[in-house]
Amino acid sequence: MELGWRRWTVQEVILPEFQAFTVLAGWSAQTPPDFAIELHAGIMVGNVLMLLDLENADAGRIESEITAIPFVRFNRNITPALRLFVQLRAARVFTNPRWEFVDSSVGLSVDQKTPSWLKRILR
Amino acid sequence: MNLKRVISIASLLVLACFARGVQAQDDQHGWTGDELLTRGAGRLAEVFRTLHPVESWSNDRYSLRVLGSGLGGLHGSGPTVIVDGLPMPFYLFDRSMLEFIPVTPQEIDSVSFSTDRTILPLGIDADGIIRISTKRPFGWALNSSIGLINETGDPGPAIHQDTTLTNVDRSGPVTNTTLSYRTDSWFAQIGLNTDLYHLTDQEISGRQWLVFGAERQPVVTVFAPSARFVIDKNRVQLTSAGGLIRKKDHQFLEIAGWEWPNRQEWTWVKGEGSLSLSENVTAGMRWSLDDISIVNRDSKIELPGKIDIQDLRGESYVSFRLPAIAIEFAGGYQLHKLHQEGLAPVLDEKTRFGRVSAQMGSGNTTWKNVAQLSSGRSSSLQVTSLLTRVIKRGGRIRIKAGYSSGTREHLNSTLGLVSRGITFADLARDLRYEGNAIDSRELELGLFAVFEMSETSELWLELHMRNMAGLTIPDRIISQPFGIGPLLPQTNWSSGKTGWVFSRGLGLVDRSLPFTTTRLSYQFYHVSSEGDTVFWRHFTGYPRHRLNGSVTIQAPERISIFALASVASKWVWPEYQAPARRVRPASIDIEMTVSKGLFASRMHMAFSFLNLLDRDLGNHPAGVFEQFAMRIKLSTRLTSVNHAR
Repeated sequence: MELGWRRWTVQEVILPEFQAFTVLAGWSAQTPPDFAIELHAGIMVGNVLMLLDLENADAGRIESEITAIPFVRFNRNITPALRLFVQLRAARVFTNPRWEFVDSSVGLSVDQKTPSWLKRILR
Repeated sequence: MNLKRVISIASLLVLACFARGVQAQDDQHGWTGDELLTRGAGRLAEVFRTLHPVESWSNDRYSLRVLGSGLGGLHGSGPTVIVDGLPMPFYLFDRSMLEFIPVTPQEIDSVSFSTDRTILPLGIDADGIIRISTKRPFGWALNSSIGLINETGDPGPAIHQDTTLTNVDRSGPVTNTTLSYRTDSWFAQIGLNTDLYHLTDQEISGRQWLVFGAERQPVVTVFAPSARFVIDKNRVQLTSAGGLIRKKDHQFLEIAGWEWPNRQEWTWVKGEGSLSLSENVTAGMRWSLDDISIVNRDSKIELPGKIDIQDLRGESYVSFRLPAIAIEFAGGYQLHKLHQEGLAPVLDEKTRFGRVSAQMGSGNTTWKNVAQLSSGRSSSLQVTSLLTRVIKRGGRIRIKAGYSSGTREHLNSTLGLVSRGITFADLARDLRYEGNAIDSRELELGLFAVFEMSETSELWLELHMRNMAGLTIPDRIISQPFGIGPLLPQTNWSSGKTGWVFSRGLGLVDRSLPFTTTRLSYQFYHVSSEGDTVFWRHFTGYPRHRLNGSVTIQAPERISIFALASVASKWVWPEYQAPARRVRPASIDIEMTVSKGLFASRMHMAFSFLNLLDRDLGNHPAGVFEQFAMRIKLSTRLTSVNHAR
């Protein structure tokens, strides 16, 4: 699962700038953990809520649409709980016209044991 | 009664004397409720869309015109749905309203389909049958579900760049709730179905502007409470169901070319009661009441005056079951009242009908015949014959023949209503039919064969053809983009039309892999009008080639997956002329559903991806383009007894 927030600026004056809040859930396959670098590939699907920079009373200030994001991700363990990752994602937001973009990211991820209350819910 | 009719009925009875042993092998295709649960459908229409090889189409994502074998053409009435033995046609303006049928997808126990044109109890003329049986658990049972569809294509920030773009979110929630109680001898159920959706693409918004003189979202809502009661004792059986349907509609009338904003109220009661007089003799009654009222919503243009329709049917029957033959004699009466505000007084029509059904068999062979004579404003004779033979080494072959003659018109069809004086004001001002009811003839032949290749897979083949003569059908050419403003389509009805329709299919059902059902079907649909252009324009258009493949993977306690791919050749609407989009190119439509039972299957959650390839799918020149959409469905099922006995 992923929760996200981004601020988008636009080059065309006629379009308003906006903030995008995303809720994603997905599935991925990965190489066995024996390798020095793990490869993950999968797809995430969810919703993008767009909050446009308009006055509160303006119509169409909030827009919402489905998005699908295939991704590949390379992980390298630094410690058993800490990893360095490089990720490439191709996103399609199903607006009319369709809104597509590719993003790349590099970062650190930390593994935490799932709290017991969350385990119960997931089960 | 003329000599030909007497001979037809007499020959059925004489032939019955040669038969021995009775065996029923009626329906051609079947699905289990568990298999259909993997569709994640919130509406019956969403279930039926996936039942290949049952032909269907729609001009939107939420309603459906089921054609069955397709022999009735693109605008045919389609199969009649029978729910637990009670026919539920809900037929109005050339369409059976699936959304009015009081069945929720999660309570389906099984569905089967037969292509045969036949006569059902109460004299109902059925162009095929879809038979639904529902689950009836012992003790208390509470079922509920909620479904939402989010269709993609909202403009997002681009709405400020192009103001013609409109939001296209089109559905939800659709809810179903039933509460039931069952003992060994009776069953009672109350239910409530609700629906809400809207169609808001650019063309529909343009038509809305012309109807209302303002921007208006065409929101459609359905509110439908219903109740059912069954008594099942040794000698007495009674099934009765009733309900009230309120629909706020923006009803697309094919014949007008645009939407009619109206409110429909439909009160219905249907039932059957029987008493076993001896081991082999049963007598009973069947009844049906439909009270329909259609009123307008506020609009700029003048809309049709309020329409009231009452249809009451009742019949008595007696049936005999002997070793060689099962035979039923039925006689009944239909009273049909029609009135439109501001027009002539109430129109009463009374029809009497008599029917003989005989089913006989010898060893592996079954022969089923039905003959019905009706007399009222007009008279008709219908005869259908179905021969089924079980092949010794796995499989079966069924051969059918059907004949009908006389005036067989549906009183609630557009022609049926218009020919009785109903007018449509500004909605379709030129819609009139001055002619008289005209006799038509219909001959149908069909072959269906199943070959069991192993214990888990079977191959089927079907060939059907229908010859129609003396038909009265619409003759029209629509030369506007989507039938708007003063340039509404002009429709005349033309009589004496003749032609053939052929429907052929080949398919495979395989269950050899664990927990997996694979279905493949190919259909070829063909119209031959022998130069009759009106017949050709009205009947052709449906894709000639259709290929469907579906896989259902359903393991206990695991995630279930359903995937369906449909490939169709081009689709032509010859009644429409450019600039309307009269041709839909060849298309591929893929849908996929992932579902899981939760809390020991008391809850079921499903996510569906519709039009997964994100193609613009628009079947009808005036219909919407179906975009990629996601559906979420959550259902719960609570029972006081752990297992259905």
